[in-house]
Amino acid sequence: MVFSIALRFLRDRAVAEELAQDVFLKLYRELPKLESPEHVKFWLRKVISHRSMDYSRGARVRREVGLDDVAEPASHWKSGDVLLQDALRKLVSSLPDDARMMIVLRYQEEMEPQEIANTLGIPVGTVKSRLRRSLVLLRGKVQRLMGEPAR
Amino acid sequence: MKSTLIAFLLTIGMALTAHAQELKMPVDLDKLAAKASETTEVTLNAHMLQLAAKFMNDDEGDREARELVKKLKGIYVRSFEFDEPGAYSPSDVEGLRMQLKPPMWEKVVGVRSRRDGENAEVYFKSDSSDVIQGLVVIAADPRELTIVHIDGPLDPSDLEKLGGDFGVPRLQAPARPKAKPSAAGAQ
Amino acid sequence: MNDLERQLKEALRRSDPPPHFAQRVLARVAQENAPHSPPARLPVWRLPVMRWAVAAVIVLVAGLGGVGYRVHEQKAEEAQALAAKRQVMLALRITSSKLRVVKQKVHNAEDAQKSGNTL
Repeated sequence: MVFSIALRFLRDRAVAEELAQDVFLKLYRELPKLESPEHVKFWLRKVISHRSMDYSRGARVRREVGLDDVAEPASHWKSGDVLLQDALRKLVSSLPDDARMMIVLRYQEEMEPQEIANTLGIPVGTVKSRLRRSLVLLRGKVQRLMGEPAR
Repeated sequence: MKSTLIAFLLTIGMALTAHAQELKMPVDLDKLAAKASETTEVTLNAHMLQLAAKFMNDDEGDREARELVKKLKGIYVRSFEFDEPGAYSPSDVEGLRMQLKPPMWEKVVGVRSRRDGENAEVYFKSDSSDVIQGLVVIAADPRELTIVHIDGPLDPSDLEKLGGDFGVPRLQAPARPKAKPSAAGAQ
Repeated sequence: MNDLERQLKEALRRSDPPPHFAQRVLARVAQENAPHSPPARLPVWRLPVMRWAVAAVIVLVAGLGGVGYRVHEQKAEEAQALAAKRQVMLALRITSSKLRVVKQKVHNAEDAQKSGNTL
């Protein structure tokens, strides 16, 4: 969960591992303050999300990947294809930091907008509208990539 | 001190040997994807091949493919199609060619056609047992570049069955062809 | 959930941490504790029992996940295998077609040579 959030957000295994290790080290220090397994889970998601976004802003590791940087798919690309998923991950990485983290938390961690709002410390309305906008953006890009409507 | 030095040199030596045995796709190839109008990339390691083999059933086509991929260590394909001719240069694949050297690799076929600018090379990797341990195909024409690397033991008859007619065993070199093909023994 | 959302879920599925990740974290925890001289009274988070609690949490959270996640993983593996199969067949088709082109060219050259010899 922790490593995976950082990995999907930063797309860099080495940095993701480093950040995940830091977070667990911090957990070691903070554990007495945490009250239940649910609290630990919430805390881990919150800290790794913020750490990843801080790292992205600080080190500017996020590369702007425009649609033009994603290879055009050959005609054999079908839904569920590993290549399409790779393209999709690249498209997600082109989103702004906060929207990208919301997408990761929503679709990797399967968190509800309210949980995402609590984790990132922003209003739930903002989460909902950003998620909606990101999906519209991604859908448009997928349509251009696949040459067919993505429902 | 002396033993530490020996251990160090041994480690370096082993690392270099291990490196020499691996075939690396040149980094430049990834840049070609940006220029290409269509890109096909297949990267399947032994784990993925085993996984794929599990889902191949007993239909004839699947069964033959399964028997082949079960033995393999990897399949790697990079194929680029370009809108305009000359979008890539021969040096883009030079890094790969440099690795395909004897005694490990042998160029069994080289075809060069000046008329249509099509080039194709086939390399086999062999070991002391004379079993083909790998295959590389580099096929290039002005608008398309395809590189295939199949890593692992290959039985030519498997290939022939699988592809309908791979024709590998019958690729014999003509002595002095007009279209400048060269093949085993004629390199 | 629509197609795009399903694809996103699949594309962003959880990835396992690298091998020995938990051991590396525990090594860092041990390293952090090592150099200090022991205080008169250990804070609660430095008690040995807490170290085991942290180890358990790390192994559970980082390494294993939950039972539900295993089911998800199984489905993901199935999808991955089917995708891998498609990729294998594609790769073999490309290999086959390229080798056929090579063979054709060699045959053409042979024919050209034969007709040259006849003349």
